[in-house]
Amino acid sequence: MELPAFQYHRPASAEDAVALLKQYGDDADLVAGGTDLLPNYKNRLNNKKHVVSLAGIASLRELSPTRIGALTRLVEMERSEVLASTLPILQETAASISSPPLREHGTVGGNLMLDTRCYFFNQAPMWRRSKHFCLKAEGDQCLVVPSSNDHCYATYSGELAAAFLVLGASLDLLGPDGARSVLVSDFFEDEGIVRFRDRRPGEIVVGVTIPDSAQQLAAGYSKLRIRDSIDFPSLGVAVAVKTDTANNIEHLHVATTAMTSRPESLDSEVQSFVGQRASPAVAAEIGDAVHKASKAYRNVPLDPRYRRKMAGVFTRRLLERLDSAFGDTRG
Amino acid sequence: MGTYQNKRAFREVANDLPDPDGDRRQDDSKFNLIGKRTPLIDARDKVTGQAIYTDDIQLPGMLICKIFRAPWAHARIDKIDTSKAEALPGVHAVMIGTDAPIKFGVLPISQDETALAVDKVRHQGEGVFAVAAESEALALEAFDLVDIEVTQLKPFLNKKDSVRDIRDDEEKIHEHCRYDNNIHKRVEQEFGDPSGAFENAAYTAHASFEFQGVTHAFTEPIAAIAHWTPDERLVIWTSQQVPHYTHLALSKVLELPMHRIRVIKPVVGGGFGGKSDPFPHEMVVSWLAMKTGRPVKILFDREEVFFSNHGRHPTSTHVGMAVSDEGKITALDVDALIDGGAFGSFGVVTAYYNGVLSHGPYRIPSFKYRGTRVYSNRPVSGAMRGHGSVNSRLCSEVALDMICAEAGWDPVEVRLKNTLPEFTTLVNGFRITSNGIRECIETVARKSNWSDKHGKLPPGRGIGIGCGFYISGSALQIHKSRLPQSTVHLKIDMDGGVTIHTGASDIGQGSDTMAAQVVAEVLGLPMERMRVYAVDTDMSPIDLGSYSSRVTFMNGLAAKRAAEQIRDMLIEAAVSISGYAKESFELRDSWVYNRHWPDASVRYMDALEEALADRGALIASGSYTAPPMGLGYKGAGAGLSPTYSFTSYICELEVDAETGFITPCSIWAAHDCGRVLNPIAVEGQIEGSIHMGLGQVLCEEMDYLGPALVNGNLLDYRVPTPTQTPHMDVTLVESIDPEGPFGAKECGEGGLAPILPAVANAVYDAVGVRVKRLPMTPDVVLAAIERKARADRKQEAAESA
Ligand SMILES: Cc1cc2nc3c(=O)[nH]c(=O)nc-3n(C[C@H](O)[C@H](O)[C@H](O)COP(=O)(O)OP(=O)(O)OC[C@H]3O[C@@H](n4cnc5c(N)ncnc54)[C@H](O)[C@@H]3O)c2cc1C
Ligand code: SF4
Repeated sequence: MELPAFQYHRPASAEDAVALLKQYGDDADLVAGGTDLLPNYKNRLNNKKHVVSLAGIASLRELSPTRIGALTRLVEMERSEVLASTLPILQETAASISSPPLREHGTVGGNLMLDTRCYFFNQAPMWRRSKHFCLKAEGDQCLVVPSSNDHCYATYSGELAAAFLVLGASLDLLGPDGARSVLVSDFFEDEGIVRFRDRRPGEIVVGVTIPDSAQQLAAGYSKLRIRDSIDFPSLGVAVAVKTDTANNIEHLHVATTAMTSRPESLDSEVQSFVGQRASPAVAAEIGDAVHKASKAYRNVPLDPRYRRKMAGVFTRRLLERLDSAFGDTRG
Repeated sequence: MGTYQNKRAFREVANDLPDPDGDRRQDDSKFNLIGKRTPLIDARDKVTGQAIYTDDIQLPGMLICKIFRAPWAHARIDKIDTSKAEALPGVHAVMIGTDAPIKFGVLPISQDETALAVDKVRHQGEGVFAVAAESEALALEAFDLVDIEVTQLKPFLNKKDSVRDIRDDEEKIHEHCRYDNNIHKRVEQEFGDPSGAFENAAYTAHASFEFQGVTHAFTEPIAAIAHWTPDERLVIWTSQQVPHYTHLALSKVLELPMHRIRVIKPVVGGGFGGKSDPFPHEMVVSWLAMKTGRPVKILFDREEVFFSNHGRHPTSTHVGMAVSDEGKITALDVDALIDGGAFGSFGVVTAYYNGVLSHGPYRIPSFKYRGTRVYSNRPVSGAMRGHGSVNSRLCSEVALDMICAEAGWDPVEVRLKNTLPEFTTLVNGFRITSNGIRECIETVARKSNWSDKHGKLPPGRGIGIGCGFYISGSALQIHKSRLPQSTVHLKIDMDGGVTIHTGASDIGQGSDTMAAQVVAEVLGLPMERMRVYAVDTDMSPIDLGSYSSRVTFMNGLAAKRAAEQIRDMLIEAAVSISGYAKESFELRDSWVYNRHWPDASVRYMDALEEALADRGALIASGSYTAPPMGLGYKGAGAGLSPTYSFTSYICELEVDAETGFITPCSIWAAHDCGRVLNPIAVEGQIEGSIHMGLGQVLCEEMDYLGPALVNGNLLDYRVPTPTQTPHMDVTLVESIDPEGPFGAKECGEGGLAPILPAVANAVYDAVGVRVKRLPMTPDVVLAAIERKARADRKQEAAESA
């Protein structure tokens, strides 16, 4: 299958990219590494006439523990020594995305802005025609939740977002009206077509800012998928925790991805554990709370009930791994 | 191995086996190339990107063909109007089913496919019309200009529905089905006294499994180019395992005599059975080329490869086993309900193989089999590596494991108690010749430290064993014919290079290298003098194709016999140069060497010059035809083979009882392939088979949502990656076959089946559950573990009450 025809633009600055997006409006898509967009184009998934590439914009490539440019490639994060010593969770998350050849091209911005996925959508045109096109493909009904004619449940499976959530990071955006910054936790919308809460036309992600304080947390990421490589997550869990010298929980953040149409922060579900003393029993309770609070739909691999259960197991195991107070059998 | 005490006695039973190799057979000290690690002759071309696959071929004026694939599973075509599409500038022809309605199929008994759907669509993804245009984009544009009206029919998506009589609101998938249902083939067999054996058994076990379909997932997508030459011959380049059957089918469908068709097989990027039928698209591009007078190319998208399928059949299999109190198997009862999808393909053979390939590697005195292959409105299933043997093998090996667990026996010892000897005949008439199964089992048991591990590993870690056997070529031909099953031509001219013309399809498995190695060995020449020209039907003699693990055995013997004729010509030449007796000469190290008087040896090139004088190029033709064998009952030919390979695997793995993840840690493999011609190639086949079998047991499945395949791509159809591939320790057991080329037999398929039970039995050893559905994805495994925990708790509660 050949790619559909489109006009390719390669601006040299972020401002020029924004201007092009503004000029072509709904007729344009942005592309970074292309590892998500181009397969979707091959399947004729809502492809556009203009494609604006970020590849020529050098200013988007910075990489430090407090700021990561949108065009940073996943392989650069994975191999970064600075991140290894400051925010190993980012290295761990990047290294679990897709496969080595794809990480050579895939970028941080592309991973954050990944389109949502669904068995009924990410298919060849003939396949989708056979089922009647669903909401996300300009049909009038969802095929996963047939009662829905106005809500798409496609799954968000970007992984870095979960890690950025537990680190309290924010996205730096540049648009026709200038620059702004939004907390990752405020950015996404739990709807497979809308996807973002307040994304303004022509806006691009220029980078991610991570607070200094994040480096004080013990943070890790764990991914559920059938094969250890290539597969998108059927669940991703990020946990960041800090206990004091008396093993009392000072900070606790949990986020999941690949369960709903956005990366989900479970902070409000686990806040009640802050102040409690870390122990295996508490780790198990936190896991249970995450399990109970999780939702998932049947549109990516593995049964939703199983995925929810694993959200709990993975959370508990991460806590045990990150802080010995959770794993110490003597309590 | 390699002892033949039983051989004389066996010969009396089996009548005079031909023994072409005489006493040279066992003396391997003489071998120059056989048994040496020999890189495949096309490896460099492939790794440097120089190999020419079908899609690499460009011809002047070539058009692109796209096939419109049905979005419906079962539908009557009421109307197709292609006129608007034909009028689109750049579109040269549009073809519909009625343009080439003659039916074809790989088996003469199931000719039920057509180039494109005629009147009726039978599965989602079936071709409805085809466009030849100047670009892919134009062909796709033309799709929208064809006016089609259909009446949708109730699809049959469940095997059980295909067995019962159709209802008033239903229509049979194929008219030709004998009764008012969708049964394609039923097989019933019984030998000995199975019901008596079950009644008197000390132990019985029943193992049932649900098998999802799996597919080959070869690397190179299906492709073909057809060209109607100015002198009105059809030339087709096609990615094929069985060019000869394509040749026959093209002749039939296009109503062209065979001599006006030329089939060329370029380099093929894998097949595994998925390129071993004559295919609709081959008919389509040929018809379009004839119609337009221009070369026409088709290259499948990956989802089209999935629709083409021909993979392993989804099957519900149930196996009962009866065992005496001494641990001897007394009977096996196999029941298989097999979903064939929309067409016949190799399905009649599949229906037999699901039963008959359970007769070894153990002595089964009583045997019963009921196999039913049905049609359904799904992409067709067909032959896939280990064809027909894999699913039933898992069930019978698990049943044996269940009995061992119940009786407290060691699964290795019980298997050793039951193995077939060499040179024996089975109840169904199979003749077993060389057989290394004991050595296979003993080897893997020793290397894995089985006796220290089985039943003794910590919770969550387990070890299991599985064995198997497989045909080394089908003794019976698909098309009844007096032609040999394989023929090889050789030519040597004054340049001293050896040209090998073979009809055997190298599909990546290395058959070209095998032929070159065999010829080079016989002629005492280095590999660099060999050049193989494989499968161009204008030039190569017929070989029936790369299926049923027949090529090394049959084509190897044909090559060897051809080379022996050339050998004799060169020796004659040396005799006339030197005056010494021919008995004293042999060919080695590029010499016609005189064993007794080395000074009388003649250089290869000198002998060649002498041999060529007044005659010109030396040519020879060697062939192979399987000897008559087997009994006379209906279906007795299914599974008959001139010899069989034997295999035993042990797998050690971990099961995470909280997530259900299975992690294979180590696999010890032993495979008896007779003489190892090329260890690199054999080890590669064994490792590849293990990897493919792991896919079926752990993560691969054709996942359907109603009629629609959900995962027709290589992201969602999960072939295991290197990260999931455990350490493999491969031992090659050489039983030295009395009939095979230098004693060789198959290694391409038999190595797949035993890995499934090795894993399943190890899972039981690790966590005490029998997972009954494949693939054993973590959610399925966890559900089984939780079920067992609930049952255990219930029992404990009952006991304490
Ligand atoms: C086989 C396969 C397996 C994969 N497995 C995984 C996986 O396991 N986990 C996972 O998370 N992903 C996976 N992916 C998806 C993808 O490869 C990665 O997420 C990658 O990081 C995407 O980055 P990219 O630069 O290639 O994105 P692109 O394809 O270039 O872009 C993706 C989307 O983001 C938008 N975009 C890109 N950059 C910006 C920006 N700066 N501002 C605003 N919008 C932007 C694009 O318009 C597009 O909609 C997989 C992809 C494939 C093909
Ligand atoms: S969740 Fe529903 S609407 Fe969204 S992509 Fe899937 S089928 Fe379409």
